[in-house]
Amino acid sequence: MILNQYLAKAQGVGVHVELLSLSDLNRRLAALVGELKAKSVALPLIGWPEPLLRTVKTEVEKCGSATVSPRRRMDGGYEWNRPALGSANLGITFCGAFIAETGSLAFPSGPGLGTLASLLPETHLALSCAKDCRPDLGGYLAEFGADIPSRLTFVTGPSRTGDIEASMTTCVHGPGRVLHWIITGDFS
Amino acid sequence: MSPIVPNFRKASREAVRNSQVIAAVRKTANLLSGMMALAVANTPDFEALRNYGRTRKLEISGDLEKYAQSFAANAQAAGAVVHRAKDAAEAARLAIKIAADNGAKTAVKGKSMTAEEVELNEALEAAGVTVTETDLGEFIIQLANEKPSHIMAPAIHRSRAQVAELFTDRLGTPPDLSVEALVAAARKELREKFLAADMGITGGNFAIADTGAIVLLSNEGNIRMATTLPRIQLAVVGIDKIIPEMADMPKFLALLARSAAGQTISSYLSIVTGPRRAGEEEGPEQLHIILLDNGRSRIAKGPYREILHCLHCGACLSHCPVYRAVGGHAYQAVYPGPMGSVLSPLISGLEIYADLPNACTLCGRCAEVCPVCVPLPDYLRDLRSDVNKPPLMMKMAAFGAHTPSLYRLGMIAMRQMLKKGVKGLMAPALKEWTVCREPPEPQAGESFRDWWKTRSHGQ
Repeated sequence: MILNQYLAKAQGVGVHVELLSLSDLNRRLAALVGELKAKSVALPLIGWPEPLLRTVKTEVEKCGSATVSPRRRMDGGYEWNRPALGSANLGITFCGAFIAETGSLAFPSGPGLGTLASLLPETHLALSCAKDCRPDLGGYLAEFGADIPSRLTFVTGPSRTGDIEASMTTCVHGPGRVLHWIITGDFS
Repeated sequence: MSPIVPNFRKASREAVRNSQVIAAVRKTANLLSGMMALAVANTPDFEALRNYGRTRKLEISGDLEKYAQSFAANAQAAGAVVHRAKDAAEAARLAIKIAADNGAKTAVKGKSMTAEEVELNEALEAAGVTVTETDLGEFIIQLANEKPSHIMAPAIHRSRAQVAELFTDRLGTPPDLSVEALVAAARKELREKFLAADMGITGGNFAIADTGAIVLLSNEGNIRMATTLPRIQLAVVGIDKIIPEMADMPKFLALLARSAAGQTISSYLSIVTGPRRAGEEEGPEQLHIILLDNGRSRIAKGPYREILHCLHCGACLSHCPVYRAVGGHAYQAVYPGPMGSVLSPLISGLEIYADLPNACTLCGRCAEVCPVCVPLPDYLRDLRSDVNKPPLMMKMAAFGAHTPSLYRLGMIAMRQMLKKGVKGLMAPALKEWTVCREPPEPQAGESFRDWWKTRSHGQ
């Protein structure tokens, strides 16, 4: 059971990982946004399963938080509002592949996918569908074939350092807290 | 290039007296080696992985130029600009030109030993580019105006109290901050630099020939920032970092992450293939890759070829009794410890680093822990022979040892001399040996040879 292997690995590297159903998501999101007093949430809008994005967007707005997303330009490309992104307290991303072998979340780059939302805010919440768990890194990389994105990033736990007296400390440059909520059941 | 003439003997004598540095080095080295042992124990096929690593690396070092050309072609096809630098000076000139062509005045940099080898910061600063180190350990030593003392843990020699004092002095933080508060202060200071920098500078843990990708590991997230936020990215990569295929990467990563810090994978793994593409909101407009040779092709053709297999994990440093006793600075080289004692003389010249092959007890721990089985003790011993033409006295001793009658006379003379103590004529000849140990006193009574003679006659 690769999902169990993933759960053990991810917890081992300090990810707060949970399985929940879509109907629980509203309540949990409201609690998280409230707890963080998140005034601004970085939320890329591309690549999500529609029902999941709708729930997230509605709930974040209901909590009174502003959202920062890559904007569509006239030429069809995307751009971030850098200062607004820099001040977001929470980043919420959709993670379309996570790796059991290493406990990693995979984030390919692409127009509108906004992977910086998983890096700049102090808290990062990744949402996934249970079916998107992959056994290992090699197999996942092979899925791309020759068509590899410009930036392919794997996130395995919080930002951390042992550079002062080898004392493990989190939240160096990236998020100090990484949550991964895996949505069970079929909703797409 | 360095104005100091390295003198390991002198520097190590001073280093062993600095108990604070040695305590700090030992503490971290113990933790790192403990974490590695645990990670290896939890990987049942680790030996098979090591063998794979060594075999694959032998194929690569046997044909470095083929893989370098293949990498360069594929990276260019992905939109990167690839530059080849034959030595450190050429790499520095290229970096200065890239910055100047793009009007880059500020740069954020991830930890890179290859950049240290090139003295990239010094070169860019001289050309008017402000370079900020963003790996916490590198940031600390940049503030302190020091060099790294470990290839993975550059500030291993500094205590928390010293870092706190340094931050108070240089950044104006309150005195005696905890590790957490120091990290938070660095986050705040460096975040502004990341968002404002024109250029991001990194090394590369692996370069993948078949896709032209650069693979970068980091735990702090600074490498992700440096490869995503600035408009220009520069990666300085030694040609020894090239591996043939993307399919090789997870295996080398497994070896590196376990050996470097006892991890299965680092917190962040970035696979960078070309610059930002059409429509993307992130990534640099230009990606420049400097492929550095600096003696590597020459080393690949010589008897020490396997040193190019090194993954730069630092395990041999943390496990080395000499490194643990003297710390990294005593080596006065970019690469310290066992791998450095081989690589530094090969890159910079054996005449400059003649002492380093002797900075070794030949205990063999480095070869035991090396994730790609580099025969470090063999290389260190062979390098000693390259340095030392046997002195006349040793040649005479060898002749004596081969001639039974001379050997007998020599032993009789030696016993007499040792009974009287090493004085007079003998003292200068044995000075090297007696400087840190007492000459032995011969056992009382008859010699072994006399005893053996009576014993065999008696039976």
